[in-house]
Amino acid sequence: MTPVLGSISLSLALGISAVSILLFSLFLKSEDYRFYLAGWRAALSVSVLSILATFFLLNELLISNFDIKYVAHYTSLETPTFYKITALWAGQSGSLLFWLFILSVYSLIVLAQYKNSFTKLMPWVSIVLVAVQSFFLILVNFVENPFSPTDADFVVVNGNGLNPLLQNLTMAIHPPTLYLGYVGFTVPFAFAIAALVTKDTGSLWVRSIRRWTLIAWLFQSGGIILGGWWAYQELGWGGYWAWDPVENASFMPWLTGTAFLHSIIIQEKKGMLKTWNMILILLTFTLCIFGTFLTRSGVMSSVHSFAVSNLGPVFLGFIAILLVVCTFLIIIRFPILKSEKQIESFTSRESGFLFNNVIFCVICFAVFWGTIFPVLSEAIRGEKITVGAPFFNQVNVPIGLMLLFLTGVGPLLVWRRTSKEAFIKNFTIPVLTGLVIFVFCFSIGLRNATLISFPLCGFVTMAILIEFQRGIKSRVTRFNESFLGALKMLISKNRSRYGGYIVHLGIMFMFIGFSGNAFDSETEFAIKTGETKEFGGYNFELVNIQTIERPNHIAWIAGLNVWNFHHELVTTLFPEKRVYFYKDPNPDKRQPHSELDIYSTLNKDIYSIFSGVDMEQQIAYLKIMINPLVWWVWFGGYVLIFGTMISLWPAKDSE
Amino acid sequence: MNLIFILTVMALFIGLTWYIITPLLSGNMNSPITVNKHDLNRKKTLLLRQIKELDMDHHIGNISDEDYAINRRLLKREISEIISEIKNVS
Repeated sequence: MTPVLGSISLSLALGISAVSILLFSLFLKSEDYRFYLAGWRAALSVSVLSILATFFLLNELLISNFDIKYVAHYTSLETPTFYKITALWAGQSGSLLFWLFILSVYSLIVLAQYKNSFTKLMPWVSIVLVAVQSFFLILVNFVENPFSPTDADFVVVNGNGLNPLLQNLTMAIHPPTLYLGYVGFTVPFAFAIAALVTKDTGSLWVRSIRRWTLIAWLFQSGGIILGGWWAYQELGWGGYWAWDPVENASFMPWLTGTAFLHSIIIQEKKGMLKTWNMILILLTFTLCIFGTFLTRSGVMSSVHSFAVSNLGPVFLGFIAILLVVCTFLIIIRFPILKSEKQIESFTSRESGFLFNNVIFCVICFAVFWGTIFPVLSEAIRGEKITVGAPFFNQVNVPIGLMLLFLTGVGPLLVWRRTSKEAFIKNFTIPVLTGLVIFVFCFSIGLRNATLISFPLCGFVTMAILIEFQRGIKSRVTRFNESFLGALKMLISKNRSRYGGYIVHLGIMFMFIGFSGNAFDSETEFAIKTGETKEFGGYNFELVNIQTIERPNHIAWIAGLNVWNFHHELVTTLFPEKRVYFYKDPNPDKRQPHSELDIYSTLNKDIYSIFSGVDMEQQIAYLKIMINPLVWWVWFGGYVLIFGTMISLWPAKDSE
Repeated sequence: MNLIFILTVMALFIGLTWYIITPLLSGNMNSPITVNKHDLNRKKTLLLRQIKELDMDHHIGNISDEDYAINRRLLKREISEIISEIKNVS
């Protein structure tokens, strides 16, 4: 009965969404508040019904109702309860419903919070939110219904189970976090459309949606970092970013969203870049939908699978509508979006922001082009040309370094024009710091991109520290505060700005981690218990191989002692070789999986992968990697999240 | 499908319809949201914050004296207008 209720909820939600849009339209035409209130209630009902439908599916997953195709496909009786919950977003139809669920939660908050605020904007904001919900409701009602019954003509007693790679805590958190980011950009998008329609495009509007953009950006950043962490911990290739289409799909809106967060500062302070800001936020949302299209339509595996899937064309149609509507609105509102002022000098903070925006967009275009090129080549020439990580690295590493440089330059520039004196005063110490690090790196023999990146990291750090020092000094002289008191007050009274600088520090730490890639090394060997192998300045001794049976898999665990050259025990690693569904009589259904073990320190990670085992001869086949500086990527991620949360923390009204 | 299920679905449908159409049945057509004090207060708060940031930027040397004076004057004028509007609404 529950699956039918789920389907009915989705159908009702779709019908009521149309009613809601109609009621809001009647309000806009007649200005009769009763229509607004009825439309608002209908919009609320759409969200509640969508959330209800999601809980209905969750219930089916938990009780293992294999009569539903989705449940049979992504869970089994052996699947732990926690992963039955995460199976909600493991497959196509479930993840579309989950998109709708998150959007409904966001919509509920917006509708409740601003019921009687933003009087001009809210009817349009509501219309846009409900329209996006309608699109996903169409998908889950007519294209990929998560409540569809199984096709089997027999009673399904057990399901396929969840992919072992997805049975990981990080992978359980990563998709919802990323979805919260993707979907979160719907709110600023809705406000942007509303602002364009109502001609309310002033700086205050931009400031009001900054919090929503930051929330979406925070989750998007967190989702990307968690995805990298999962890839590093689970996939066993030793890296955290492979430039695959799914990763790129999440990275593109992040880039334009980041550019937007920077350029709205110019609009707030100077009334400039209004058109540009509109384009950026509209583009960010479109890229979120495009990202969902890339990952869900099957287009990346082959254009042919796109052609046979109903999902791809529907998504493409929606993207086309978005582009047409956004372009039309931008064109007709162009006269009111003109800047109040012009950038006067190349050495102004405004131009620093503009360059930073250009670089974000260039990276976004490079990633976009590299991602869709294989699809285009297959569609046009019938031959799929793969664009791999070397292309992305070759293009993006120099541009990324340029971006890092601007991260340091920005805070040192003065609004409108930086005088020669201010230029010398602000840049001397950061530039000297960069030069000292450059000379040091050169003297120890660095000759690759790290010769640029490490000095730039020093330059950026010093630039940010100087900005903090100037702020603290200002407070100490103005308010007679102590150093620590001034630092605390500086951050708490200017959360947005100094939270942003902390985010920049996080990015700088991440760049230190990225630079470590240049020194990665790896080896593979077969090793018998009791034997020792030498690699990368360490001796690896295989102590034993244990066999353990767990509820849903069997595991062989290698006990690997790692000794340094001073014969001191550094750590003991326990990489595992697992086989899921090992009791299945059909060998094709057994799923082998390597669970890594990593010893992580500030300067390097020792990464061990158990590739295979010969229990008769007590031989383990291992792959060992030495990955320098990876720790800094995750540390930078924490700092980035921390900085964003400072920026987001609401200021007290009394301030 | 049993009777209870059909009744549940019907109750859900009728309940939702009633919830949505109730405002349309009331006689009040005046919009209480034409001029909103919340929006004006929000604008005022944002402008006050902008002034504080401007003061800080000026004190740490991120903005010239001339720009500071012009921008501060403009922001103050904008706040005065909003305060007048708030008074009118009140």
